[in-house]
Amino acid sequence: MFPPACKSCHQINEGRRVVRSVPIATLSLLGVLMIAGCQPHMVDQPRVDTLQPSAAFADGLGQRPPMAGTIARGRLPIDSPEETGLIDGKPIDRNPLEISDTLLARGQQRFQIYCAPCHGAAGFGDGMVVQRGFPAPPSYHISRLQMAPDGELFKVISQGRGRMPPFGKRIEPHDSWAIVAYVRALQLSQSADIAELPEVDKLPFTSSEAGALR
Amino acid sequence: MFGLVFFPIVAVGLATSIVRSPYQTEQGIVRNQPVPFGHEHHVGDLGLDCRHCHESVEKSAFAEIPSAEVCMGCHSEVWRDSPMLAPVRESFQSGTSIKWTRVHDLPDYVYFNHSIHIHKGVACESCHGRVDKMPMMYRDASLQMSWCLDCHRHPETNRRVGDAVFAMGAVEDAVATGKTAESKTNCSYCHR
Ligand code: HEC
Ligand code: HEC
Ligand code: HEC
Ligand code: HEC
Ligand code: HEC
Ligand code: HEC
Ligand code: HEC
Repeated sequence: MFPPACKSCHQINEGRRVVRSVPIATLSLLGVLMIAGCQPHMVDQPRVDTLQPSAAFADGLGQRPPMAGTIARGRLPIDSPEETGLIDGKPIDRNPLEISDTLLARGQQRFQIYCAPCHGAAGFGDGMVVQRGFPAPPSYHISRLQMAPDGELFKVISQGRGRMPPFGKRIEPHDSWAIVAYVRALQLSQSADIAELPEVDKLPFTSSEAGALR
Repeated sequence: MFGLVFFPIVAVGLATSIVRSPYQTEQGIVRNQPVPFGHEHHVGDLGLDCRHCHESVEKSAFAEIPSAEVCMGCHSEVWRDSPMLAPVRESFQSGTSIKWTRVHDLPDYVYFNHSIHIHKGVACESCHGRVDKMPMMYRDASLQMSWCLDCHRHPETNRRVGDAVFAMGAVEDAVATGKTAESKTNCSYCHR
């Protein structure tokens, strides 16, 4: 029977044993039997696979939600600025991660997976889902959002805002900060001065062959 | 009692030893689903990336089936009153899961893992077919052992680079990725 130590998590019906896996010896024996036509046992083994129900828990779910306050491996305490984007309830100014090509590439990829369907590839708020009837978000290129601190953007991603759904459970903080960095790059791409660009990038704007290049 | 147990087992044993027709392997067969969810609409028309919904596919063995919360990200507004989506709204409110019928389900004695395939550049399309053309999900491959092995014997073929792994339709193959793939046919890779 389950020792008391276990009962804090397992509300188990007394008398019911829960087996995680069949011992190796039994497995190999069953392997032989299986060929002899005993397949169903092996096809559907008495263990809980991902998303399968389990009678061991009161809510019937085999996949246990982490307990409140659980910190996943490699993550920081849940109230640290890296996890919330806030210090004393105020959004932090600067992205805590070091901005690099790798980070921007990751941010671009995650942006395209999660955000572009609504915000559009360039952030004008004209994504496919908006074209099919979702209320349009504001363009990233309005001055209020250009001025917003990095922590504010982070908070919008993790907690959502208005009709925008929260992504805190779906996107890890590291990726959210990568997305923030990419959104900043998108904003810069629409507001930079041509004079500030490297020579190669100036070309399309200055050359008379601009049309051909684009 | 003995007969009750014994006969179904023999029947299943016999059935599985018959050379498998597509009907038996359930290839190409559409299942009844609680919500008529269309990959054609979401992937083909809207251009959604697989990872918008199948979030863990790069990181774990399991690809993840999206929760009602993911659907409601858009369907809180788009088609918000459609009766078709009633089970999604119900599940979102009650916190219970939508009871999708599984389309792919290997026997428990086979240990499949998505992340290794994705990392090695095997595209979703290689195993699941043109998902963007499926109004309803069906199984494109037989999932028989010979199907796994045909590829495992020649793992250099059929691989792509970067995000092309998630794309549908003709994409350039990753011949020059520099990423190698070994031929893994030892029984214990798939059976433990
Ligand atoms: C901190 C909470 C917690 C405590 C305490 C705990 N367990 Fe668990 N147990 C879990 C969770 C969560 C799972 C599901 C893990 C998974 O799916 O990988 C689980 C799974 C199991 C399983 C596998 C169930 C199955 O169907 O696969 C067994 C057996 C088990 N626990 C036995 C015990 C025993 C015996 C004790 C006491 C010594 C104990 N547990 C204490 C949380 C706990
Ligand atoms: C389902 C559509 C949808 C998705 C997906 C989405 N957003 Fe939004 N977003 C919106 C809408 C609608 C608003 C306007 C919210 C409001 O103020 O009512 C918005 C607003 C914003 C704002 C501006 C907030 C402000 O202060 O006005 C930012 C920044 C933002 N989103 C970033 C993101 C990022 C980054 C992602 C991807 C992780 C994302 N959004 C994904 C719909 C979406
Ligand atoms: C909008 C969310 C969404 C997107 C995007 C999406 N899927 Fe799905 N997928 C689902 C849902 C919901 C199911 C379960 C219902 C079903 O089988 O149709 C599913 C089921 C599947 C299944 C069958 C699972 C089973 O039961 O065996 C496969 C395979 C699959 N998706 C592959 C893909 C691929 C490949 C992509 C990208 C090209 C993709 N999906 C994009 C939501 C999505
Ligand atoms: C990124 C936004 C988005 C997400 C996430 C999303 N949908 Fe949709 N869905 C749409 C849009 C947009 C339409 C099409 C509306 C149109 O074309 O008029 C649609 C259409 C549908 C339809 C009707 C047409 C069809 O062929 O599919 C169903 C049913 C549906 N969605 C179910 C779901 C379910 C279930 C989920 C969650 C697994 C989901 N959707 C997730 C945006 C989304
Ligand atoms: C090497 C072949 C292969 C590739 C590549 C592959 N899958 Fe699968 N997929 C499978 C098999 C086999 C199953 C059935 C697994 C099982 O029953 O244990 C499956 C199952 C699924 C399921 C059901 C949930 C699960 O994990 O069992 C989804 C969803 C899915 N695949 C989506 C995807 C997506 C999205 C991609 C691309 C990013 C992808 N798959 C790439 C072979 C593959
Ligand atoms: C289209 C090609 C393809 C198909 C089909 C395929 N695989 Fe794979 N599989 C690969 C490649 C490539 C690797 C990576 C080999 C390496 O490590 O270099 C791999 C690796 C694996 C591994 C990890 C081996 C290890 O290193 O531990 C497992 C397990 C596996 N496959 C199971 C399966 C199963 C089960 C099926 C059938 C349901 C299957 N695969 C179908 C291409 C494929
Ligand atoms: C790449 C993965 C993979 C490898 C390697 C592999 N198998 Fe399998 N095996 C499978 C899959 C998938 C099935 C399930 C086939 C089905 O459901 O039709 C299976 C089924 C079986 C079965 C059940 C009988 C049947 O046809 O349904 C036996 C027995 C078996 N394998 C033995 C072996 C032995 C022995 C080896 C080594 C020589 C081996 N397998 C290597 C994937 C693999």
